[in-house]
Amino acid sequence: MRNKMLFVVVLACLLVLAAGAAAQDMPAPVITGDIILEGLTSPQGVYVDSDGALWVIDSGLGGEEQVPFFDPNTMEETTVPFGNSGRLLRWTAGSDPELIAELPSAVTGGDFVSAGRVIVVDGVPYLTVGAWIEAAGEEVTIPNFGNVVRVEDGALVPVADLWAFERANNPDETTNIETHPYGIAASPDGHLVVADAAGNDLLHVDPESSHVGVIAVFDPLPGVFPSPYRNNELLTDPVPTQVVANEDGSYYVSLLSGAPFIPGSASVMMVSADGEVTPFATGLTMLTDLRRGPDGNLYATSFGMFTQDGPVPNSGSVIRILEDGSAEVVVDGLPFVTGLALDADGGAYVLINGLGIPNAGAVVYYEGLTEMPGMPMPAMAAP
Amino acid sequence: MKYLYIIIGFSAMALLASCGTIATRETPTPALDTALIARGIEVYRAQYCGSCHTLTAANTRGTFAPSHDGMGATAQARIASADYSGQATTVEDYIRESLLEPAVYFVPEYTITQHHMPPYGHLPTDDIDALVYLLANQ
Repeated sequence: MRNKMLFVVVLACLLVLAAGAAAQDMPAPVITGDIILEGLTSPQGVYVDSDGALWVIDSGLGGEEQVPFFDPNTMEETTVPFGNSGRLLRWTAGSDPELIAELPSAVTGGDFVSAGRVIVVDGVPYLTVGAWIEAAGEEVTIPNFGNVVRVEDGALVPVADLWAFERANNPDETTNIETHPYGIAASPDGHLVVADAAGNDLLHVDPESSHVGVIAVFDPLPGVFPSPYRNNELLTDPVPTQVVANEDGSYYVSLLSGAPFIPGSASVMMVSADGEVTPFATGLTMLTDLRRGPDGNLYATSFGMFTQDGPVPNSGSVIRILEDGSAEVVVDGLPFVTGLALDADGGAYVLINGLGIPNAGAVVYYEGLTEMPGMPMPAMAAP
Repeated sequence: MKYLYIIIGFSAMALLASCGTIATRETPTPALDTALIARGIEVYRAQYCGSCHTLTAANTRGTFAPSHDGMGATAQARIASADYSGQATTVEDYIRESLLEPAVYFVPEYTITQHHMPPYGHLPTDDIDALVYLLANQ
């Protein structure tokens, strides 16, 4: 989530304790949906499986252990709090959430970093976990960070080491060696597809052989300050956050856009089966998740608006992206939206307060969201 | 040292009073260059500084990074702090250094974060000057 968000947000990078402090001072949002789970910390991933059960990732609060870490800024060796306080939860209506697995949770610079996303394929949960940057040390010191894992009997089993892949290949060819495995989907060929939010690429992962390959690399976006990782050009990172696999082998990928997250600079890109990247929906803002609804449309979450005034309170939203690439707002007024999952009936589970406010995160359910009328997108300055 | 100045001030006033001719010679405070302040705010907002910083004068509320309200006094304190690792000796130099070489010194509460300050050396000198003036006068 470095210049990759120089403030990157990403994600974990999006989720900053300082921003959390601000959020606590913001006016309370008006939530029109039903809050079905709350008390979460920096919830990142949500998924509805084929049985209709809801899976949620709670990033946890670190722990008592101190693990070695290099300060990415000063390069001095330090430690960060760590513990297995993150949680993978499974929930069905009318019951209490079930703890499926404890997840590694680290506190780095105010970010609560744990797993990113979860999907369930043939009954097996797969997760993207943590992030790593070369400046923090060549060897990952936090268990499973920078990996795709699967869950077996409550334990995390490494599937693919994306940190090793980034170190060996650095597909985006910037001088920043960093991975943040984040978005994940199952491709029609039975493999996994991962959007690396810090690597700025879309990766193909074979869950059997652990082979990793590049599907596409995303170009940088226009920026307002120099990127030290891109020859000091006025560019910012695209920060891919989620991928939707199509039957024909192509993909839709949502981009968050890097700091300063200028409204209108995010987009959904189409990636063809042979890796060609073309814009599909543009002029969007801080996209954190992307899903296909049962109505055939794409639905995305917008984290919020960061304007010249700074973060706009409760400016997160769920948007619908139509077949022609145009977009409309379905639900707005939400605080720091990080995830979305749709059920077979068109209901939507939306993660709010997905940033560093301990226990402030929640899952909100909107019944029949896909049937809700669309509203015009907010006007915004061109990036 | 501050108390010494106060004592000297009182002494001088007492001396003038004893002469029966109190001269009201106030130390002139330089008038703010409002045009330069306005230009500084314009640059500040155009560069999206408010995404990360709060500056009431510019109507921004970012909190990823330290607040810029009261920046003049803050800069003075940082220069004097034991952990300061930069080269600046004045408020203006500190702010300029922070804009051009932000990696020289990280405010302690903001070290390990990866959301760090980018360098703004690409801006025209006039714009940097306006930002320095704006922030030094907060």
